[in-house]
Amino acid sequence: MSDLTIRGLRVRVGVGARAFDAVDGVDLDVPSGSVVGLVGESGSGKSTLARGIVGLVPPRGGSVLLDAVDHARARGRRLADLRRRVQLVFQDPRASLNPRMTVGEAIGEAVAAHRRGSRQERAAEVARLLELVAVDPALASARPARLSGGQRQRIALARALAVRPDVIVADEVTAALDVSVQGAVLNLLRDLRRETGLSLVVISHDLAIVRYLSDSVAVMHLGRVVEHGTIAEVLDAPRHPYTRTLIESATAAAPSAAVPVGEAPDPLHPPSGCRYRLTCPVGPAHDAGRRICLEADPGAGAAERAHRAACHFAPGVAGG
Amino acid sequence: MSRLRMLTLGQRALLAALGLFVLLAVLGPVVWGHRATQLDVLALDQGASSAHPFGTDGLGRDLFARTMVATRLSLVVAAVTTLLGFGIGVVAGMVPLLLGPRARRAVEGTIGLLVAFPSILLVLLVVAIVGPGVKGTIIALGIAAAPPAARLTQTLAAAVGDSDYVAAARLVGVRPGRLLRRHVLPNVASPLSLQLAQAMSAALLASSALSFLGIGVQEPDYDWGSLLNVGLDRIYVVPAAALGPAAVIILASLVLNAAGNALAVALAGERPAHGRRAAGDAGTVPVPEAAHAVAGDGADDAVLRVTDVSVRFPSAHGSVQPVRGVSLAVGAGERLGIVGESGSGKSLTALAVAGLVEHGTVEAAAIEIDGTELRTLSRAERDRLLGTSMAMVFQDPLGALNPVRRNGRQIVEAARAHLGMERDRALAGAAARLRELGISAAERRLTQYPHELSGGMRQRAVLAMGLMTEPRLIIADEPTTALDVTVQRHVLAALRQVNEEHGTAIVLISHDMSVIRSFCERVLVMYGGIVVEEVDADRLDRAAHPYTRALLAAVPDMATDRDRPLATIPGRAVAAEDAPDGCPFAPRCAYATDRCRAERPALVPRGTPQPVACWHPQAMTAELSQEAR
Amino acid sequence: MRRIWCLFVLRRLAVLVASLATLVVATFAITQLVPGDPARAGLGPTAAPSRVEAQRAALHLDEPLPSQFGHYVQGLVKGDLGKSFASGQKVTDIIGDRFPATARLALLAFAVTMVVGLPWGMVTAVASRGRPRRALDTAFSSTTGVMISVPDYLIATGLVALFGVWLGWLPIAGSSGATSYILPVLAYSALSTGMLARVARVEMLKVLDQEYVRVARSKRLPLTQLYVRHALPNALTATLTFSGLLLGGCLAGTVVVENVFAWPGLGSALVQAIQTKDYPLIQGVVLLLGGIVLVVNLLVDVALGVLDPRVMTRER
Repeated sequence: MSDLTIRGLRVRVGVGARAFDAVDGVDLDVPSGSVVGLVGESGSGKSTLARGIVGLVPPRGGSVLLDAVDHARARGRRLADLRRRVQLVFQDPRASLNPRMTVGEAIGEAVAAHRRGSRQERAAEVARLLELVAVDPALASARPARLSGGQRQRIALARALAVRPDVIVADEVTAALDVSVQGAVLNLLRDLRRETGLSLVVISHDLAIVRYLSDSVAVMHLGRVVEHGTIAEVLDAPRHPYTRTLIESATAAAPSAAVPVGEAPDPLHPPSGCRYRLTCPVGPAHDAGRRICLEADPGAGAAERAHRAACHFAPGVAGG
Repeated sequence: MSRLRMLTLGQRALLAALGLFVLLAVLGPVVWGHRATQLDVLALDQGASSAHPFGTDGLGRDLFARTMVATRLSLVVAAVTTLLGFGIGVVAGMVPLLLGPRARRAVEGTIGLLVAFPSILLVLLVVAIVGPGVKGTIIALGIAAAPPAARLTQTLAAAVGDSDYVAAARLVGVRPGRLLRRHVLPNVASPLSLQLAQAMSAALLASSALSFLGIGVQEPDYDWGSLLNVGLDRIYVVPAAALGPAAVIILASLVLNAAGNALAVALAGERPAHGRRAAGDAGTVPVPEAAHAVAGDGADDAVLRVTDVSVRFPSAHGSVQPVRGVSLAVGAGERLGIVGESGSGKSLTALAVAGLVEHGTVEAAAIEIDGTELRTLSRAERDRLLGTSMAMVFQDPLGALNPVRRNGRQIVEAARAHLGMERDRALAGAAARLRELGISAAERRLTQYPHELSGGMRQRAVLAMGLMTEPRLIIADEPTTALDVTVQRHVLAALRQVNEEHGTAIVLISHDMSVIRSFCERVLVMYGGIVVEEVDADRLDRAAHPYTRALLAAVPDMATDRDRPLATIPGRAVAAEDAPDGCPFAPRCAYATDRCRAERPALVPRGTPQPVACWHPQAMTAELSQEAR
Repeated sequence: MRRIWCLFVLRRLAVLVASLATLVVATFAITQLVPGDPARAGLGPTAAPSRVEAQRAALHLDEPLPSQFGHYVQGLVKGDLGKSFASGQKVTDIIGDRFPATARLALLAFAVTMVVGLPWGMVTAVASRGRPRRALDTAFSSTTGVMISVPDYLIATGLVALFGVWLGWLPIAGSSGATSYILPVLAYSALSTGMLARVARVEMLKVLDQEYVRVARSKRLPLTQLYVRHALPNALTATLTFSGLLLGGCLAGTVVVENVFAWPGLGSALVQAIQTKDYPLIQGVVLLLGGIVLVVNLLVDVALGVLDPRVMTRER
C-alpha cells in the first residue's frame, strides 16, 4: 500500500474571466492505511481537490506523490498507474452509474481494464465484489434504475474496489442518501479499511461523519487547508476560528455572538490578507485592532503553528 | 422482439400504417406504373369518378395511379435527406468533444447561429447553387437538416461527456474506444433516434414544398409535391387533383411521425411505471379507534389545530394517500418540530394545512386557526385569515423570491394586500425587519433583486417577508437544508429570535434530527404518511417508537462512539404509494409481529407519557444506545 | 451597471457583424459555386455570345477572386445589387417594389400569432392548473398539433378549396383589397400561432410550478394579483424570446404562401429567380431577408436583457 502526499496543489476551474483557483496551494498527507477526513462547506474546493488528486482535472501546480513519485499532470502510463492506485467515489449515486448498463457490466469493465481473464473469471470477480459491499450478487444483471440510492452507492464503491486501489477518495458519498441508510455505507467504508488496509480520504461537509471515520482531519476554506491534525487534537482544541465555528455548528450550539453574518467571500476576488476575515468571529469585523488580518496571508506562517493553523492568532507550536 | 409486444393497440395500428406506406413505396410503380403513364385523350382534365378516383390531368393520366407511384420518390427523398442531414449533424455535433475549450466554443457558436438562421433561406440558397431536381433537393434539405441535428447531438454529447459515470469509467481505466461505444453512443443515440422519425416527417413536408414550388423534383420525375403543384392550378375545375395529393402528404407525415416515435420508444425498452395499489385504496383509510383523540396539548390556546388530515392524489391505479389521518396542535409561542425522511409526508402535511396542495384533495375533520374552523369562512375571509396569521418559509431561498421583481415590493405585498398598509410605511417596516434579522444596508437590499443576495440573506429576507403581517404561526419547511451549516445556525437563531421576541409559534419541518432536537420543544415523528410518535425534545433519548429510536441511533453526531458500528435501519424509506397495510414501519422493524403487519396502531399513549403509534413501544426506562446491527 | 450594458450590447453587435459578414460571403459564393458559367446559365442557351460576354464583364467574372469579392462588397455598400438577368431591372428596384407586400403579409401574420397564440396558451395553462381538465388539454393539444404539423402550403390549399372554390367567399390570388389578405394570413400564421401557443402554455406551467408562485399563494394574495404580478412577467420573458425568433422566421418564410396565392412579394420573386437562374436577384433577396432576421434576433436579445435582470449578471 502506498503513501499519498499532496504538496501545494493548485486546480483551476472556470473559463476566461470567470476562472479562479478553486484549490489554491493545498498540502495533505495520507499515510498508507490511514483515514484522512476533509471537511469544508460549499465553495471550499474539496470536490475540486478530489478531482485534481485523481487526475480528472489536471492540476495547475503542485505535486501528487505516490511513494515519492509525482503523478500530477501525469499522462499515459503514469496516469494509468495513478488511476489504478487512487480511486474516487462520487457524491450522486444516480449520476455515477450509466443508466443503460447493468451494474455487473459497470463493475466488469473496471475488472477487465486491469486484468486479463476469461468471462467466467470476470463474472466471479464481480460476484465477489458485490458480496464485499453487501449487495446481492443476483443483482448484477439489474440496471441502476431498479436499485436504491444506498445500493447504487455501494456498487460505485465496488467498481472502485475492482481495480484494487491503494487509496479511495470518498466525495460526500452519503450526502444524497436517506439518513437511515447512510450508516450502512459508512460502516462499509470502515470495514473495508480494516480488512484490506486501504487508505481513505473522506470528504464531507458533515463534521460528525468525518469525526466518526477519520484518524486525522483537514479543514478547508476557500481553496486552502486552514487547519490539520489528528481528530482528537483538532476537535478538542481547535486553533482556527473557522474550525471552531464548524464544531459549534455541528454540536448545534447557539451562535456565540448574535451578530450579522458578513458577506461571504467571492472566490473570484478573494479578500486581501486572510481569506476568512470577512466572516471570522474574531477577525477585523469584530475587533478593529486586528489589522494584520487585512494585510498578511496567515497561510505563509502556518507550518510554525499548532495544527498548521492558518490564523495569525493561533498559538504557536512552542507556545500555548 | 419481446419489446414490440408491449405496444398498445393504437401504436400497433400506427406501425401497420407505416408498413403500408413502405409497401406502397416498393410496389407502387410495379402495380400502377403502367396506368400512371397511360394517356387517355378521351378523358382529359376530368374530376373524380369511379374510373379515376382522383381525376385525370391535362394529358388524361390517372391521378390516383400517379399519386401511388409518386410514393416511392417522395419517401426515398425524405429518407435520404434525413440520413444525410443526421449524418452530417451527428458528426458535426461530436466534433466539439475532441477539441480544446476555445475551439469547442467557436464550433458551438457557429452551430447555434446556423440553427437560428431561417432554414428556408438556407435551402433556397443551396438549391440556387446546385440547381433544382432530385439532387438539389436532397443536398439542400440535407444541409438544412444538419444544424438542428448537430445542436441536439452536441447538447447530448456534452451532457454525457460531463457526466459522472463517464468520469468514473475513465477513472477505472476504460479505454476511449469502449467509452465511446458503450457509454457515450447509447446515451446519445437513443434520444437522437426519437428525433429521426420527426425529422423524416419534416423532410417529407419540406421536399414536397420544394416540388410544389417547382424547384424540387423536375419533369419527368414527379412526387407528391409536384402533383400538388399541378393540381393547384386546376383546383377550380378539379378539386380532387389538389386535395388528393394534399391528403396523402398529410397522412404520410403524420404516420411517419407518430409511428416512428412509437417504434423508437418501444425499442428503448421503456416501460410504463407499475405501482402497487395503495393501502386504503378502496375508499377511505380504515380509521383506528381513538384516532380522533386530538394529539398534543388539548389546550385551548392552540394557534393551530388540525384533526385527522389526509391528502389524496389520483394515480395510475386509483389513488394514493401520502398523508393519512394526521392530527396536530400548536400552542401559542410553541416551537414544534416535524421530523421524517423522504416519503414520510411531513412537507405535504404542512402544505395541506396551509391550503396549498394542488392536484390533490385534502380531507380533514377539522382545521382551526386560533379556534376558528377554516371551512366555515368564506373564501375571502379565509384568505385574509391565512394571509395574516400564518406565514410559510420553504426550502429553496432563491426560488422563494420572484427573480424579476425587486425585493422590497415582494416583501411588503402581503401586508399591503391584507392589511391595507400604505407603501412607504410598509417599506420602512420591511427595512426594520431586515435589520432586526441581521441584514445590513437594509434599505439598499429592498431595492435590489433576489439574485443579488446570498443564500443565508435570502432566507432571512423570506423570514422578514413572513413577519410583515405579524403572524401567529410560521411554518418552516426544511428552511436550512440548502444552506451551509454555518449559515444554517444563523438562520435558526433568527427564527429563535422571532419566536422569543414576537411570540410567534414555529413549526419546523426537517429530516435533520440534530436541528430539530436543538431548536424545538416538542417533536412529531412521521413515517409513511402517519405520525408515529409525539415526544418532548428533551425526552427524545427515551423515545418509545422503534423508528424514532433507530433514527436517533443511525445518525452520527459529535458524541457518537467511534469504536462501534453505526446503527442502520434495513430496507429503505417507503413512499406512501407502496406503503403496506398495517404499520408502515413493520417491514423494517426489528420488533414487528403479525399484528403489526395487519393492523395499524393508533396514536395514543400506551403506557408511555406521550402518544406513540406502535403495538410494541420500547421500554421507556432503557436509555437509547447504539444498537448493534 | 452601465458598463455591463455596454459590454452586453457590444458583444451582441460583434456577433451580428460576424454573421452579416458570413451572409455576404455566402451570397457572394452563389455565383462562384454554380457549376458552369452563371451568365450563360442565367441568360439561357440561346443568348448571343456577345450578350453573355457583356454580362460576364458586368459581373467581373473574369477577374481574380478577391477582386470580384471587392466589387461585390463595394456594390453592397453603394446600395447597388446589380441588375436582374431576366428583366434587366436594377435588383434594388425589384426588391423595393416587392418587399412591402411581403412585409405586410409577414407582419400581419405575426400580429395574429401574438394576439391569438400568446393568450390562448397562457389561459389554457392557468385553466388546467389544479384541476386536470382532460377535455381542455386534449382540445388544445390536437388543435395546436394540427396547426404545427400541417405545412402552410397544405393549409393554404385546403383554405383555397374551401373558401375560394367551394364557398367562393374570398379571393385566392393577388393582393388587392383587404379581403385578399385573409386567406394568406390565416394559412401563414397557423404554424407560428400553434407553436407560440404551445410554448406560452409550457412556460406558464413552468412558472406556476415555481417556488415563488407557491409562496405568493401562501400569502393568499388575490388571484389576479398573483397571476399578473408574479406569473405573467416570468412567463412572458421566455415566451417573448421565442416570439422574437418567430418574427424573424415570419419575415423570411413567406415564400411558399406567396406562391399559392400569387402574392406579389419577395418570396415569389425568389422562387422565380431560382427557376430562371437570375443570380443577382437571388443574391439580393437572400441578403436582405437574411440580414433582417439577424438584426431582429439582436433586438430580441437586447429586449430580453432589459426584461430579465438576471441576464445582466451572467454577462459579468
